Amino acid sequence: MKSGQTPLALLVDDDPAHNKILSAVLKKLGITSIVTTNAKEFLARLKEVKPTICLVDLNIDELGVGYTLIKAVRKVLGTSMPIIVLSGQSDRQAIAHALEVGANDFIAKPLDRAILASKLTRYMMTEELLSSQSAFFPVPEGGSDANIELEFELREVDEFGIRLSSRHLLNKGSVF
Amino acid sequence: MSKAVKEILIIDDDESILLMASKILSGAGYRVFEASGVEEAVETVQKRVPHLVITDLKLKGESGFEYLERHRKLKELRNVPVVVLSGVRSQEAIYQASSLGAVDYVTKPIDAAILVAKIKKALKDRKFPHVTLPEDQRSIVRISAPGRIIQANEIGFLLEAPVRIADNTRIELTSPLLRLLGLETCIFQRSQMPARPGLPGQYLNDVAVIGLTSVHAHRIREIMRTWK
Repeated sequence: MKSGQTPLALLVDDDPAHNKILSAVLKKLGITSIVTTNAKEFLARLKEVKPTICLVDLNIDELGVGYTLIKAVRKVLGTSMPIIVLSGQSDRQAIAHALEVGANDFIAKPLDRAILASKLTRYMMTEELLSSQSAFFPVPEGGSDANIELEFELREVDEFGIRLSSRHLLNKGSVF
Repeated sequence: MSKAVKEILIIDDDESILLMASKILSGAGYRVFEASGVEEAVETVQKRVPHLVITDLKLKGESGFEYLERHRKLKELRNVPVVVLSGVRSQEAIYQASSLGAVDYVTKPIDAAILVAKIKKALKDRKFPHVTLPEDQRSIVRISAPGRIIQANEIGFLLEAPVRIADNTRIELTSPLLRLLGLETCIFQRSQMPARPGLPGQYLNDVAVIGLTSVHAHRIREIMRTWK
């Protein structure tokens, strides 16, 4: 984010109580918020105010309209606009769908302020936010083992091996 | 991928020939297997298909001609050439071997240079199957990579792995730590922060935890407090 620009968050959620709390939290983080409570209002303001970030509820007006709004933001403003979903739904399917249609992140309600602040830091580098950024802690005992499952596309086969392709980069000589 | 070494099976009932041919061919960079008769040879090739077979004609029991016949009938050997290595120099033998599918005929006593040249030629002429799959037929292969979560905070962690995971991609990840933190319901995504090289052979991948609730946050804090 460019310095000197006031960070501006465009909110859409049909719960006024939630909007009030969220605005207050954002204010403390040095972010001005513009509150909208329905899809139509959100879309109108989106073109008008040029926000730095969009915070979108999934179920506004009716079930799943949030997904449509995310798609609309992507269409109007491209991929550079960060969109964070704030939703009472927290099942993997809802999260995955939101990411698929173009959301950058997803925070499930009830919201945790520290998590919200940390996540926002990733997308908007304001001074207030930087000071509240969560530090990384070393995991005890040198770390925790993890198993990563990645998908590759099988392209070529011969008797000496196979050739795979993907956007990931495997280190030479590693065994999988 | 292991280094591509072509494998050759030699069939001969004369130990000294086996020894000599083996030496010549291993010296030329091939891996050599031996069989002293047709039965043993047929058993061997079915267990492990060689790139080429060399057979003598006069063998104890079934002859080299019989090997050629059986070789032809085995589907998995369709692309494997047979070269005859024999003391027999008659036109009939050469003709019969060729009509049974032998691609070349080398006479004894063995001349190392000729044998290697003929083998090289027989292998060169041969196309080993190499398939490039058309785009609509490419299947997805799942790869399991070992990693290690070395640092964490309440919204993400650093994953050390021999893979540089592409930015903004969802990853399937399991780890005792993630179970301990109660994050099974969340989705893990490589964040927009670029992955960077770590220790030799390793990359540091910044992973964001997506779908966090305040319940997760409390639990994460409780556990991380015990780390300090």
